[in-house]
Amino acid sequence: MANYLIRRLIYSLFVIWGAITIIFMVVRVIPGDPAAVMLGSNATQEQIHALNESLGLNEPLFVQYKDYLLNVLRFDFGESFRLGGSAMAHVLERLPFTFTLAFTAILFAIIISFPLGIQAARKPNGLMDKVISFVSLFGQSLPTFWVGIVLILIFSRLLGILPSAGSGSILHLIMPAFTLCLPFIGMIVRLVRSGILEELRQGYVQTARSKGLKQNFILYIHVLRNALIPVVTVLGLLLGEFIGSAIIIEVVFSWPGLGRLLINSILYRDYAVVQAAIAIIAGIYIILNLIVDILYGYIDPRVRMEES
Amino acid sequence: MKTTATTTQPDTPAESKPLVELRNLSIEFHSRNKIAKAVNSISLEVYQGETLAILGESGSGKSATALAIMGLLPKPGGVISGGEICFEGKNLVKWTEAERRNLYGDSLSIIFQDPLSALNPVLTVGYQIGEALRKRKNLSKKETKKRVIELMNLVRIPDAETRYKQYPYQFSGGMQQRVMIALALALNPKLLIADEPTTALDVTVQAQIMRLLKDLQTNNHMGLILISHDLGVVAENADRVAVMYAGHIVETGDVQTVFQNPAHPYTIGLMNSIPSDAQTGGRLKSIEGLPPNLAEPPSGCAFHPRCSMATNLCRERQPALEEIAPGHKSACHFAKDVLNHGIS
Repeated sequence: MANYLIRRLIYSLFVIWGAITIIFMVVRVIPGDPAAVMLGSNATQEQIHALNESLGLNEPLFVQYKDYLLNVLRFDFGESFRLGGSAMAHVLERLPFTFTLAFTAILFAIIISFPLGIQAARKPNGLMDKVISFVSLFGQSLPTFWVGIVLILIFSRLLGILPSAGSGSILHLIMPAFTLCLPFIGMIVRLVRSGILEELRQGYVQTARSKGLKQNFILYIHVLRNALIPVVTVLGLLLGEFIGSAIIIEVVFSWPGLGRLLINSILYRDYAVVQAAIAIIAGIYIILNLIVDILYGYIDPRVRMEES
Repeated sequence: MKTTATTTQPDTPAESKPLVELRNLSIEFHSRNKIAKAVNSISLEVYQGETLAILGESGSGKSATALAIMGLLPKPGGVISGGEICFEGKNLVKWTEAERRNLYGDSLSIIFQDPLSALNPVLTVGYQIGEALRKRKNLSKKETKKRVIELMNLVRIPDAETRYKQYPYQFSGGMQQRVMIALALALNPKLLIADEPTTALDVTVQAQIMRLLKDLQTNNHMGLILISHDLGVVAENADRVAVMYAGHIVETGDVQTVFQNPAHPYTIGLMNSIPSDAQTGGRLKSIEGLPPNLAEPPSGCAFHPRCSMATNLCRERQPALEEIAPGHKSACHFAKDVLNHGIS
């Protein structure tokens, strides 16, 4: 296992290098000059040139890239043009908010989809199954920003029971987390349902029945664990997806997370912050993948063995 | 160990009353627009301490019969369309699932063909063997473990203490089948159904597993239904045999009688297709043609399209399973001729 982890970590370094290189290129390809954006429309050509000079943006791209990589090796992503101070510090300050949102959303997704998936699998193609698949497909088809706005209208404006924006309490989390997980519920429900139906056909279910065990016991002890192996993988990868989707939802609900910081930094061409944020998001994806692999081994003893 | 078996066994009453008796049992498999008649009105009985073999090709209905006795026909689709399954005189067909559940393990038990798929990959072997003891008999954790180790020793799994905590994939095929046997015997069943117990195993391991099963049967004085397509396994291990073809029993009797004096062309065909030393170099013999489609069975005798003796009578009328000698029955219009002269 240790050997395997080291190998995975070395691969991960390459992935991070790829991600920060691509983002370095992309932010410089976007039209618009950071100095021009910062100084506003009244700035003269000389002022813009001077500011670019002081930011090091007049150097050839290759030199900028070399300096950038050397700094990144020291975990220094430079200073934020817009906010001042270390870009990475700004990113790390926002990170816990996005994490809280994504974790709550995945928790909501599990709490909602697992029971629905299990219920749907009990009588495949029965009424319950059809209702569940219709509702989850419906949820999947709604655009998240629209759902967010409708929820705000209902629960904040009309009923006044949930705050419409900001952070600070559990109540602030409910609407953004629900909006974030909604499109994924249908997918997880289907995954759980088909996983269970697939496993119910296996020989060990027949063996369990031949022991005189009750249907529910067989479902929860024998079937569910096998059925969840592929679901765990997808959930882990989804958490990464959630952090990505959080960007839009953070804007709708004015949630002070990484996503909102990233959007604003892109608008202001705040290169350092964008690069730091992307590096962190890439790092999170990699760590999540690693956690999924380890968890996988915990659920499925066959994997644990192969890798040791 | 043998002494305990013989003392607990009241021989004469057990001989007179069968442990399990099938009366005109019919099984159908329903799919979207077809009904396949897997088993057609078969009657069988198994006595305590006896081994009955059900012999047949795949698709002959032998496994469906086994699953029906266990109440494990696949749902939806598998239906008992007629007849009775009597266990110790009680007709199980009408019982609810919950009622039947109480029979599993201590009255009826089953071993499947492929032990790896019959065991749960994510649970330890020890847990799986002991599960019925824990859940059905409410034994404590400690008692269960003690009993499981005993069972593992009984089926001759070496190093049971260590193996207890391992998972099925860490066992060889033969050892997995031993696990399956230990699991099936955990509650001391009166009837054990072994559905092709050695088919998925190496030939050398096959013999070991069959010997183990026979030993355990003698010790526990169980009834054993041995389902197999392997004439050698049947000849060596069964007391009586029922030969099945396309959902019908075509011949039944003592193993010796049936194999030495077969009275049905299908049985003779099966025996002729065993490769023998005399045939070295030649083509392997087989029965011409294929088993019939059970959704559209042929008219009359189901075997007539493949039978060299078939006449118009065979095409029109289905032969009944009739006694041709004491305890020896055949379902062939020409059973006497076949018995006396073989097939032409």
